[in-house]
Amino acid sequence: MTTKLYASGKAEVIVREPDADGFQRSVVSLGSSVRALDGTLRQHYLSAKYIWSLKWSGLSSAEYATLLAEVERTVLMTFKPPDTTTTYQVLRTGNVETASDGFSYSIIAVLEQA
Amino acid sequence: MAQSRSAGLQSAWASKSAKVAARVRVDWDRDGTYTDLYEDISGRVVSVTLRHAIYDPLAGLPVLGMAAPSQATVVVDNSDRWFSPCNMNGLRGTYSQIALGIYRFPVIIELGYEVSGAPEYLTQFVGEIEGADEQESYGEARVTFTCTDRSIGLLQYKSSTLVQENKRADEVILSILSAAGATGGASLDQAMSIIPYSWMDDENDWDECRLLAQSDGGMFYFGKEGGATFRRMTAPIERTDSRVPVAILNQGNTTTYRDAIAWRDCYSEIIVKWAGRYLAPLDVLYEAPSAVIVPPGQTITEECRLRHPALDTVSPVYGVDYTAISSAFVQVPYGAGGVQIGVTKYGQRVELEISNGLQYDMLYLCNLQVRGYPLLGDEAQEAHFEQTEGQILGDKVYTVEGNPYVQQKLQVIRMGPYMRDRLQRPRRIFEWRGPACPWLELLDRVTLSHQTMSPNPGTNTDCYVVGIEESYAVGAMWMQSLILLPVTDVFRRTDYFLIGTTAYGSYGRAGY
Repeated sequence: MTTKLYASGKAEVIVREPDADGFQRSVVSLGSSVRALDGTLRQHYLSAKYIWSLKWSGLSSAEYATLLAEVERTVLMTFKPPDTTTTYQVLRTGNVETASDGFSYSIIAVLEQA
Repeated sequence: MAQSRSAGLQSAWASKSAKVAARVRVDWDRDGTYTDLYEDISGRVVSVTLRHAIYDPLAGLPVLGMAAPSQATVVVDNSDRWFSPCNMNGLRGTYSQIALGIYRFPVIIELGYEVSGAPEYLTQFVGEIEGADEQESYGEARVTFTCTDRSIGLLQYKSSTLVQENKRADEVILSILSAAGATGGASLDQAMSIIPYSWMDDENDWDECRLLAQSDGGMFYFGKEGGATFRRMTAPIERTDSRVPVAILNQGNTTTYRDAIAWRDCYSEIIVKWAGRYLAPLDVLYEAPSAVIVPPGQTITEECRLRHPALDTVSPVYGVDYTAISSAFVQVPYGAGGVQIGVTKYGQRVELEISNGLQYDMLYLCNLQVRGYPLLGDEAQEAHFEQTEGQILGDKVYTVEGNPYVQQKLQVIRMGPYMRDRLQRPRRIFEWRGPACPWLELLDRVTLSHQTMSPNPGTNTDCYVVGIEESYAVGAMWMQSLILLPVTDVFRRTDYFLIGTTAYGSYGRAGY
């Protein structure tokens, strides 16, 4: 199991695996629904996309620097989650939260499939 | 005529969950294809809206087919300034003509549903981008393309033609489309009436096509797939997709339903006016107000607007229609070293290319006149068609007038009774809204069924589609609004005897 996160088209960067207890992957359907006159639910969708909520804790200074450089990017990135061999084109959405407890660092970020 | 579609697409429309397939392409190099680099802009499209109509709510039912051209609006993401004419790293880097702005690039909008994992598109709009409005606010940059259907090629040009004799409306329309290069995909019904004389004199191609259609009681518009379309008055009771429903719109796929009874479009009497023309003997149709002066060695164009349209004009004859003298007061002969006149004839206009072959002297063309065979207008006449159902109290008259192609009584007595039947009753106009049914086209027949009203008067009626609006935005429903005219009593009978197609009596009655 390897986690990779890097700017698409650039050299691969292996980052530390996210915490197992903070790893969330949700599927969001790009679409909408509406009720017909008799109450029937009708749905149109375009595609389903993944959203990953990731947390890394206990990062060393080196791991922290490597990871932060990647999650701070605002360009299209390639992400290989730890639980699959598939890679995804993603954008980092939302804030990047970093913290330190004096001994190690932690990072929280959200990646969304492009 | 409804677009052909697979059974899978019909199932996808009817299913509770459908994956929308959307494709928007622009022919940036105007080569007639949509397969070149960056011509598929689907990945940048944020939303699409489009509209087709033969029914204009303001004009009402009397003038079906006189609605505005079809329009579409496409909003695209421009956060990387891809579409900006001044961005050399954007589209302009590949297509240099973008530098002058995005104007009149052909566009095609296809929408459909995914069937068995593959997108199945049906063309919803074909036209050209008429305007590109670039907007930017913090965190968002978009461009809105305003598109007009292929009538844009007719709307912007004016034509002049010779007088044509005894042509049907569809034949004249075809000649206009041919001159404008807009015959691709055209579908023209055979018109029912002969127009004795037709011509154009610096007139707008789009307006003339619609007037020609109206003179036959028909409609002219551009269809969803971009072809010019002429439908004659009786098309709704002749065409298969107007006789047999192509979709059932019921409470399970309807999100909004509106029913209005349009008393406004009710008339107790229809008056149709016409003015015939007759061919008169040879006469002088133009006299120059003063001598025409041509500098030595030059050619000028003298535009002669005739008093009446002319079936034919006589090329000016030296000594009869003009004389030519030089500035040295010497008569100038006709020929290469003297005066020469080239003639271009139109219906009510003649262009004379007058050349002065003299080396040093000015040429004076005196007493210039143009003779021809004029078409003189008769006094306007009118025919009255009173209501036969007696539903309208008092007098409420609708008058069809001012159409130069309505020239004989035969046209009028064919058009009048059909219009009377359409307008002598209050008409229900339904508006339906629901998940988009992609194959519907104007004049298609649909069954509108609503059986869940409480208390339940219900609706179960067949209608003609006279207006289509669609809207789609990424992440939203692809919705369609239809304006529907119930078929009942639009025509007095449901079928008529067609020469060469049906047998009189057993299959239909004679038309008007």
